Amino acid sequence: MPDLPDPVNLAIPAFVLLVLAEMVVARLRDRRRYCPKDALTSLGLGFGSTIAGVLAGGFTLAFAMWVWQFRLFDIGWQWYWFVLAFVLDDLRYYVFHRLAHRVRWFWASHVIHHSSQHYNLSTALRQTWTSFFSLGFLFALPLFLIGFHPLMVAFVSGINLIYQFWIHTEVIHRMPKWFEAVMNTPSHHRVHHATNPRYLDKNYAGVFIVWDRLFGSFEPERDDDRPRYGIVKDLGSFNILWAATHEWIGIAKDVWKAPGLKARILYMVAPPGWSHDGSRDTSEIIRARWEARQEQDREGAWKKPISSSSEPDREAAPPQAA
Amino acid sequence: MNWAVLAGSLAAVLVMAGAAWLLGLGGAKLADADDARRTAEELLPGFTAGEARVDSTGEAAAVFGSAGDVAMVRRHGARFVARRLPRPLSVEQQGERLVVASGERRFGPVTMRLASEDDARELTRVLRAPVDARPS
Repeated sequence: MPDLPDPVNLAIPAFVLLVLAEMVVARLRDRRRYCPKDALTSLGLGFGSTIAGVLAGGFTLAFAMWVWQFRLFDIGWQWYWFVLAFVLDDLRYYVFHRLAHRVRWFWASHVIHHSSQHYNLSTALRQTWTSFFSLGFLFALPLFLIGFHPLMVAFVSGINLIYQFWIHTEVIHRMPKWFEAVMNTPSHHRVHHATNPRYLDKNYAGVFIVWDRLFGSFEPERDDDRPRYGIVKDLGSFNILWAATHEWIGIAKDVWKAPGLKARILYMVAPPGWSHDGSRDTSEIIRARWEARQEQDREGAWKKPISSSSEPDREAAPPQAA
Repeated sequence: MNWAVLAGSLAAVLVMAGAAWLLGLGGAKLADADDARRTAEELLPGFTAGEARVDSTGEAAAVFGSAGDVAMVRRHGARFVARRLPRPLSVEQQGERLVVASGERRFGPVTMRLASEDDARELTRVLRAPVDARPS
């Protein structure tokens, strides 16, 4: 078994230099791209996340090794197994990430990463403290059961995490077309972090955007609908503990007050925004309301009387949205 | 992860946050009532903005919604945050300054400073009034 390094640890100096470089660009182009308090919150959450990772790491590895003994195949350490592990781990990330947005229990952990209203490289480091508690590591079990060694999976997951760092930026507009077609890019991931109704719950990919294209969750970024970042109900606080725990506290309060067992369970596993009395909005409700308003606006524009004979043919069909 | 990496990471956090502060990054201001309306609609899904009052520093605004509610908008770092509140609102007025309770401890109150005491008194009256009252 090779002695694999922790790729994330090795990448830390590059993370720091790139964040500093992006800050200089922000100083020259648009100072509002960074906010010192927001950056400190993001970086503090990132630091806390590494500590939480160390604390939970021992148990997670022991559990993974225990599961691995029931593997179907004996997979070696040749380079091509690393490549296959990387691709399958990225699919694992896609599935986990999609559920992290659709199941409140997983969202309570993942929301931390989305709670900044900024989109810059410091946002990439705004990571969860409660990943272990939310049981996200269970999504990797199929890889161990196939036969990939837990340390190989940890290594390729680290590479995946490093890849995702550079896409958290507004400095890069678009990558070459072929790259945008296959890989996750700043443009695709800006959509994922956006709260615009059009963009909610889209582009879950880690490294390969092809998963979103395959499974129907892809949405391209549009220049006429610039992403706005954050969460549907922004925190309005830079308190690091609140950022790390607010959704868990929300779940606890809702479960405590819920009328009946079914509502209690749904407050934990239904999509974020679900409520037993319909008083809150899920992303589907927000998007449906927005689409209805768009339709209304289009109809209004179509019915609006026009006096000029040079206007387009009134009998023609109204223009379709792009 | 060892102690050296941990200590280095903590130092890096402080260096990066310090750099953001030294470079003078951040800052946000509402330009006018249109900007406040647009901001409220962007921040609050389903909110349809009507009249708006922006405070004299551009750091906060009260935006009246078509459903009779009010969006209280305030600066949060280099961005804005908002809460949609039903009327009547809980408002404290002192001179040109008024403080609107959001009802959320973590979000805190929204403070506005208006051009004159009369403006502040008038806005306080409307925010405290039932749904059909509008700013004059």
